[in-house]
Amino acid sequence: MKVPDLTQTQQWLSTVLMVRGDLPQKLNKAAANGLTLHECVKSNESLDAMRRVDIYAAGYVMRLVECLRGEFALLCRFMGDEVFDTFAKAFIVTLPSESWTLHQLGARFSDFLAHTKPTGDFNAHQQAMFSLPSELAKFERAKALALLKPGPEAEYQSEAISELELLCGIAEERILAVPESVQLIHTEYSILPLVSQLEQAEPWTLPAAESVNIAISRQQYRLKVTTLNDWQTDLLLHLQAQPLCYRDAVTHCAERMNIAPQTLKSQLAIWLPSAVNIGLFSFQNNR
Amino acid sequence: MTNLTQTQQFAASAISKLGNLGFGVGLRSQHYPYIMSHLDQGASLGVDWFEIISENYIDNHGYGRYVLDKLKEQYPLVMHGVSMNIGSSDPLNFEYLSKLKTLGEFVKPQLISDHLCWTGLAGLNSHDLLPMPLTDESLQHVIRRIDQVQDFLERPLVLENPSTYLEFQHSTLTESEFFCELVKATGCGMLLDVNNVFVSSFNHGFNAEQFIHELPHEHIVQIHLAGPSDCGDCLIDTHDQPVPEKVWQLYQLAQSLTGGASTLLEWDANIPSFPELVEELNKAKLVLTGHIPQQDTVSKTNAISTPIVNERAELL
Repeated sequence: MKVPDLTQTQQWLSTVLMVRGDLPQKLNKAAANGLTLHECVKSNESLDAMRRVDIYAAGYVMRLVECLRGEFALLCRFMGDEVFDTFAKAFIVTLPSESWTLHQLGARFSDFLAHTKPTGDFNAHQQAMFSLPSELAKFERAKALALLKPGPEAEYQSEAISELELLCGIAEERILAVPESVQLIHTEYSILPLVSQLEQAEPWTLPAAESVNIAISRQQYRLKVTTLNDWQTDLLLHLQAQPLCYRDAVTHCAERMNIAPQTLKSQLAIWLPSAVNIGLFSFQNNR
Repeated sequence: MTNLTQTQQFAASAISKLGNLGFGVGLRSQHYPYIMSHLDQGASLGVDWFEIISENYIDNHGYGRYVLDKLKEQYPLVMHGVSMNIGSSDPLNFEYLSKLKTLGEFVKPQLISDHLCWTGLAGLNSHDLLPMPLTDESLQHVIRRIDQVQDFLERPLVLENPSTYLEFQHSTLTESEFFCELVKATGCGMLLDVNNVFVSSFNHGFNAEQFIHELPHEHIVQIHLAGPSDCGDCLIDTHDQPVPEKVWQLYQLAQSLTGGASTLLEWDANIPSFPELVEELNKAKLVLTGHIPQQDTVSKTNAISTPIVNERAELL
């Protein structure tokens, strides 16, 4: 037998770790490339080659399942450990990590759950049970990102703004931006009561089907969760893409939402100071 | 030291000048409240320095970054990575290296380390420290890559011996020979994990003391301590137990052969309170006075190797 080179050796072990199946199936798939377990791995009387490879193969999946349990703790509580682990293992095998950072591991989990949910003619209760896992995953992923991204404590420090300043027009030229820590998600169920029940480990009730926009922000490294109406969502979404001076932000939002600018300005004067306080926006002087 | 490039000579020189940092622990988010309250009060934490997991703080602009910012004002820090993938046949990931360098500029660490291993191939990442085939081809491959990394980071790299559970049939070098050749050719440093030596020697049936005797002692700048789990037929590197007696013996030997290297206690699962962690670390000081703590390796059935240290901290 020709001695395998570094690439062949690593391809072999990588296949054994990452392809679908139990260990014999994994080894068969790896052997299709021309290398067998016993050609690759030493055995001794206390530990044979199969057991040695199994330590890595089992560890690979369980380590990442553990990591997903950490990021999606509420979902795990909702589904139960056994069901959660089944989906987590399927996710890891179907979409192996492509990033060096574990901060990315959960990025595609919500979509994976959405794509693997059963389709068919189900009643409302069944629909909710099949849909909620991906909705909860979306929420928990947003929380994780809100904790990591640049936020209002340093990069997006904001100047305080009052209702009066907004009404008097003093803030017209100030730049209104959305910190990267702000995460906006759209859910088809009103999940926040369920989230609260799961956080408190209380008996939970199925939420109603309802279209909801949820913003997760950070202030002094504490998360804030807010439900947004349509114009608040529109303003946030557009300022996430491009910071604008307050005057332009209001004008454009009013146009898009078909609201009289003065009406929107009045509503913003009431809402914006508290929204800045919870880290949803930052105000900076246009200097 | 003939035929060494400027970078290799610089690395070797920098490694030889690294001082002994004393006794440190790995920074873990579970300890942030304790650490921050002590920093605020100007109270001593009972350790000389901290080691951070680099990947936990790259692209992390949350509370962990704030803690680092405060901690670095009062304690020396070391950056320890798990994702350099130095042994992989994939190209080096310069996006990662660039972020590592940027973090280094913020942290200003005493040293930057990673592992002699590979973590992924063909763009996929196992998030595990996978064993190298110990061949001349691997050696030359890793030497070339260490040179590239040291050039890019503009500082010496320090590599740790990982715990391993398998050896490749076609390996022609021992791990100690591999390390000796590596440091000689590149000038890089070695982080000797005596727990990993204990684990690998048990799993592969080699003599741990002899292994440590064979290492390039003048290049060992740091020693890791941790507690593994005894799974009956093998030892698994779980970092979730007190340091066992055998590991303390290896630590004592390593310290005598190196003339004194920085000591770091790792504890990554079932994490005890910070004072308990410091209590365990302080046993290292006793060992240096000749007293070896009596501690068995803890038995366990469902052990996961190389536990993940994930940092995602919210201030509660």
